[in-house]
Amino acid sequence: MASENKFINMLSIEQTKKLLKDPNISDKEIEEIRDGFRMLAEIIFEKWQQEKQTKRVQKLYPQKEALCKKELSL
Amino acid sequence: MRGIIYTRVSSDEQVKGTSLEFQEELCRKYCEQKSIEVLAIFKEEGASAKTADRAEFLRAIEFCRKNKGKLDAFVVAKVDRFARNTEDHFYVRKILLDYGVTLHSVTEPIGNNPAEKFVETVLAGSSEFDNAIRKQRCTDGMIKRINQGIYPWKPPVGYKCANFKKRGEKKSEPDPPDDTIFPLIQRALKEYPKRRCTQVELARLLDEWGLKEIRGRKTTPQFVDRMLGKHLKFYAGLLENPWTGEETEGQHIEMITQEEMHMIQLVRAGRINSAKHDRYNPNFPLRRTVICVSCNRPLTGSAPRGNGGKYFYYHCHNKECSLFGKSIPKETLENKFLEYLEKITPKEKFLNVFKATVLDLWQEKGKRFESEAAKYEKRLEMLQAKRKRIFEMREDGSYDKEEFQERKEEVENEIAAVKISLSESRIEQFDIEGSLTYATNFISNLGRQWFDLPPQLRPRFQQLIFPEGIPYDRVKGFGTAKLGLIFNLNRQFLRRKFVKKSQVVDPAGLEPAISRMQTGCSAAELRALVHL
Repeated sequence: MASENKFINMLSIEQTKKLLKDPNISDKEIEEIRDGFRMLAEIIFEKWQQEKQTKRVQKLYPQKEALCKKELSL
Repeated sequence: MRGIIYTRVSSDEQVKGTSLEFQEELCRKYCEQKSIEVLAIFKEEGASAKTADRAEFLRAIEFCRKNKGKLDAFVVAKVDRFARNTEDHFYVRKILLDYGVTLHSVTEPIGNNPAEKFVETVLAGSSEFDNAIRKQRCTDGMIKRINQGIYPWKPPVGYKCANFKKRGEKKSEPDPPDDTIFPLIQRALKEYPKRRCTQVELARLLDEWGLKEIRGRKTTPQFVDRMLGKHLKFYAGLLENPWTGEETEGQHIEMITQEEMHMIQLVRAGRINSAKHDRYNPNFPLRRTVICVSCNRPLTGSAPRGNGGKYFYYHCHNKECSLFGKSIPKETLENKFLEYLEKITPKEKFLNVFKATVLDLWQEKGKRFESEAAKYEKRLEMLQAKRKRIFEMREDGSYDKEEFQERKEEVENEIAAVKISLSESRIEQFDIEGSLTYATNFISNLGRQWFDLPPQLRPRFQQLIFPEGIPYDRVKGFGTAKLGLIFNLNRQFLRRKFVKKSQVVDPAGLEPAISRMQTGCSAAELRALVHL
């Protein structure tokens, strides 16, 4: 159960079991599924944040962005 | 009798009493008295008799060997001119005896009868003792200087030597910094732990900053090695006693602090990663993920230069593999990988777990946005107050029109930036449904997403889908790879492609992956289910 505390606010094995509605999946597999999705969700979150950051920079420095684009096209 | 004369001084500044000319004169007079015909004179300048490793001395021995049987005497002014080491003395004397040559000292009664032998032994021991005493005095003098905080030797690069090589004038003050080199070495030492660069890179940087022009030669990695190793303590203001290992605070101006010195030592000892090693090269995102079909080792990438620039290839680096040296163009492999990824989706039956995980993660991160929003609100209040003050200062005449305009624009720009950040963090805080849609769209087309992912996220993503890598054959393409437990190969996608090609209407149940992904529980339902 120690690995359950790897991440803060993480789904417990019991909660994951409820969502899966499949009694044939073992606890170990459930843990693997949960951890796999957590890793995927983290990658998605990081990508989403980076996109937001880029948008924010574009909003704050539209002239600089335009300059960069101009330099790139040159 | 025939013989040779050997004279020696340990430095070219030897006092008159033992100068080469004086020794030669004494030896010649002695030879005349003893009726020794002088065949050769060997003069040694600036050599110590501590060891027998002296060029002229060796030539004299060689002369004796070549003239074995024709020579009888090896004449020196004093025994200590011959050797200052008892072992060497008797070893060389025995060799000379083998050649039929006897050692003669002008000023001391030595020879082959027992009394003369005894005197010779005492004299040889006395020479060694004399030398040892001088050495001890010299060492004591150096230790004394070190304890005073003065470096008794030539200081490392970056410092000028105080009284270097001036006879009779020993260092009485610390070495002053060399104004031109000191700042460069200091900069390099301070940058080293931050940049975590290699010694070669640091040498190149030093030359870029101008060290090459000042010193008139290229900076070598060996120079950097001495700078970061042997001389580091000196640069940190410490002097080390080489005989006892004790450290003393030096009087010279230090380049770096002792904390910085320890940091450099840690980096060099490997306790902190020295050079930043980029395990995943952004030019070759599939390195380590795609494995060679022949030897099962991960492919690597290289970019040889050719006509018109660099050409990027993946290839197997195992020299024993049959596919060694057979490269695959980067574009070909990555396009095929993209096609392969398009066939992979997370298993649909796990969709609810995925959505719940996304919700959890976003909520967890949302707490950070809450605190960020609070920070922005506080900053905004402060800036509004500042803006008000600027207006007040204009009214009471503290600012003229231009100053007021400048200050006002400055603070208003800051307010605008903080407002945008605040609104962003509020949106991020509450846009749970939007984040769910974003995440679901992500998994509906993994190929496209892999292509759009920032380079640093790609390796993690690939590891998640292909935990053991994916084999690639130059002819057959990608083989069967073990997928992560949450993924499956979407055969349905392939069938759909086939159906479209054959212009037949999609049969029921073969709807596009995205619509299927978007089914399942809503965010509210999920929350209720998870927190039951």
